[in-house]
Amino acid sequence: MDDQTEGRRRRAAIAIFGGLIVLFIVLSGFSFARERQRPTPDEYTFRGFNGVDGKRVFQAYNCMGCHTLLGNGAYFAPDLTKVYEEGGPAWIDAFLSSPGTWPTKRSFDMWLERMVQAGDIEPTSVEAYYEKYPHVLEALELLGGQRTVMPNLNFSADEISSLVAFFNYSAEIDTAGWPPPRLAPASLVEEVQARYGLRPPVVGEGAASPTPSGVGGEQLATQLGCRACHTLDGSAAVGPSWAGLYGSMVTLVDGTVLTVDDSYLSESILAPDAKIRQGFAPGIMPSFEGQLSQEELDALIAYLRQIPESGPGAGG
Amino acid sequence: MLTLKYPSQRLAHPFFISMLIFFLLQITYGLTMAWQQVDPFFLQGILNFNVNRSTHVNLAVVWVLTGLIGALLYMGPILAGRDVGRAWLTRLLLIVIWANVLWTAVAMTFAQVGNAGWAFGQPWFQEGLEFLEAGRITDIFLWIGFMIVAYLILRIFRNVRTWTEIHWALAVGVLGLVVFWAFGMFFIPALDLQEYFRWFVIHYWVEAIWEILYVGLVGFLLLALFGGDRKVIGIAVFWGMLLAVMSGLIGNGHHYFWIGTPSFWQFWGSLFSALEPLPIILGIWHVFLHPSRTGRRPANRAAFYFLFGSSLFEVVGAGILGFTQGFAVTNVWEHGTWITPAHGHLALFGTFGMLAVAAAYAVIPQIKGITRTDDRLSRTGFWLILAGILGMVLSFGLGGTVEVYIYRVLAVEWFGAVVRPAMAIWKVLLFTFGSVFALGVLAVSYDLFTLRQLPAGVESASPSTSWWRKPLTALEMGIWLAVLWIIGLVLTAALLVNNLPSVRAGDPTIPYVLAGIGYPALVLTTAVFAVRFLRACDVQAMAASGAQGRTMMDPGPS
Repeated sequence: MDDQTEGRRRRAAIAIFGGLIVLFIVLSGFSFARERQRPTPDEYTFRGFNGVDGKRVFQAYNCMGCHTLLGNGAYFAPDLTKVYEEGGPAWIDAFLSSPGTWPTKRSFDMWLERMVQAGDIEPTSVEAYYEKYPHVLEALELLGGQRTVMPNLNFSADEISSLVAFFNYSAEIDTAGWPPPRLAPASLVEEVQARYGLRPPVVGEGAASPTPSGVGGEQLATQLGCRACHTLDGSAAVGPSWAGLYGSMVTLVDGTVLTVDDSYLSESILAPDAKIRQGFAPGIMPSFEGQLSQEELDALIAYLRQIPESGPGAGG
Repeated sequence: MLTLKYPSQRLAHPFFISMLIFFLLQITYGLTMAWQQVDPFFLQGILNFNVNRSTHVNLAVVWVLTGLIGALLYMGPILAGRDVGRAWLTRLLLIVIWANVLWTAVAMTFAQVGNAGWAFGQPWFQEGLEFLEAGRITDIFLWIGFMIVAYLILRIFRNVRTWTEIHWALAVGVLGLVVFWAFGMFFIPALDLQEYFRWFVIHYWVEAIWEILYVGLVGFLLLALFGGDRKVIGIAVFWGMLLAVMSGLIGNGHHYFWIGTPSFWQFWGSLFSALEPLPIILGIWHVFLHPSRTGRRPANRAAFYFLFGSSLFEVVGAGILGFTQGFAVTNVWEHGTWITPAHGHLALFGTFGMLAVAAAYAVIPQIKGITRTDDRLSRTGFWLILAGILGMVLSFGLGGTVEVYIYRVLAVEWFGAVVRPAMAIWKVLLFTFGSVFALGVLAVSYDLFTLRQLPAGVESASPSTSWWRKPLTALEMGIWLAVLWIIGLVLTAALLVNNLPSVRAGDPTIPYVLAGIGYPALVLTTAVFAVRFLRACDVQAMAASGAQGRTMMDPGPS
């Protein structure tokens, strides 16, 4: 080959490459120009934490190592970009606070009530929240009380608040139409879901039952979402395990030792922060005062009383 | 040409041994993840999926890099005509790499308790960004390591009077390793800007800078294995480098489609992504052309197997599978699904990993002074690796096709309850082929650890020549590549048809049929082509070298 021609070609190609660098810089400049008014994470706050705090938590737990965000990540768990848009703040707050199982309708109602009273969320009533985020009702109906795949990461309340602010920010990013909207009929989607065993429970039998009276203690524990924090196999999770709890000796944070009996259990359900056991933090378990009838409280305690040291259906 | 001449070249050996250890470690994490795909509760709370995943992908980069550094340390002195010297720096470099691997493997587990090591606004232990999971401590020490590499190589190239294209490729490559690494060392609060710069490291640092080093090393290895015309190789190296950076610079735009950047990236990214295969096709053409022009048997068959495998997988994994998903209209469906790792695994391991193994096979016998060896185990390993990785591509591709339908087209939100079980069979298949791959890696590692001289009089296994005796012509080579690319177009169509009204209304028949034909056809054609090509090389070489016998070390043209 002619050396001169080759040399000329090479110089021309390098010049074109220079032009492409200029083009790339111009495109990049436009992408981040102030005029585009991109959302930034510091604009979004929840309970005093902003999206930047949340991004630090998101990175610290390496959430992207299982989930995807903006479609980038590990494809092992669902994409989180729009999770705020679908579930809203209370849903993210409740889900991350109840590791192990999906929140149930009844426990989420209570959760919402608390958040409404605290002024944490915009919809000023439980009903208004469900109206704004119908997706949540669907999730509670289909999956409430079931085991989640996500491991228990023991998030603190502050970390969860930060994450809520971060997901509020990520949902505001304009992803240019990704992921594409669903055009398929809802009936087909339900059919496919049912093929994998995901269908709404028959009314009166499952967790969505509106009248819990007459329900056994075990079912009640599931409906209330207790098992998200209390295990039956003796392992400590967010709260103390229930295995062999009744009649055992426990040590409180102030050093007193007492035996678990009916009155201790009753107090711990209605006023959880009254007596905190060593190794556990106050302010985590919600109070069930006014949420349970006397019958239900009795049923729950009767159920707790008979859980053996290595309980039935441990972990399941 | 590959002969050991300078004492510093011996230091490449511990790098290749370390590379193999890291590789074995990486596939252990990979297999653990693959089993967690099948049973998500496996080791949950002890070694969560995200920890395994981060360590897996970080080790992938580190082991390949360790091998490439080994290759540079061995080949640099030959190209420069002098010893590297500064042996203490080279030893320090190896210590830095080892310390980083061990520390990073520990630091990744901190994600389970949410400890990133935040201080001065930076995450020092681990930072939870895909592919850049290692924290600042690792970043900085590895950065120092890259500076050592650049210093050692540029220092000995300084006195070379006439630089060939290979010198340029390696010099630009080692400098680029230092420069582009720096883009991953800042905490950026805004997601769009963070993603923008994250791909500077992944796309430019890995895909562009590694590609430049790759082109230089492949050019060098072709000369070393076959001899032949330096000028022809020089031209190929130059255009391979330049086409790669020209198409890749704005081709990187395919990562900017959905991250909050303007939609004009969909046009520019798609356009330049379509050009990205050009340098790759040029590459395999030369890997074909060179042996056929020189008419010589590969001086070192094991090295040539992996070198060819590398350029073939670059065509299929980086070129074809990358092409299918580089367009905004196809990417919108596959983005964030298993279709991506089908491309990722074959592109990264296939291109760079295979080259690093090829370099180990080229260099280790020289350092050990071995002239003849039994190459049966290396070939068994090669075929197991080939079958394993192609089977993984098949599992990811078909599993991904189901995922695209359920998760994107039907937009079913219940990932654990519906999307996961829908992909179950492909997850089992992924683990199965991953295990085959692991067996191949074990065979190759054992072989490289224990490589020894074959006593005179003992024949190494000769290739069967009972079928396909005909040499591979340019026409046939062209047909093979054309068939592979036609299958690539079928796979592109398999994603494109998701835009059809009938598919969007919920009928998956067309994409399922196209992918169901495309993926099996792609992996089978690739495998048969590999058999055909390597067999033809053996036969052709036999005809050419006749009764000269098989020696690993060829005197070469130097």
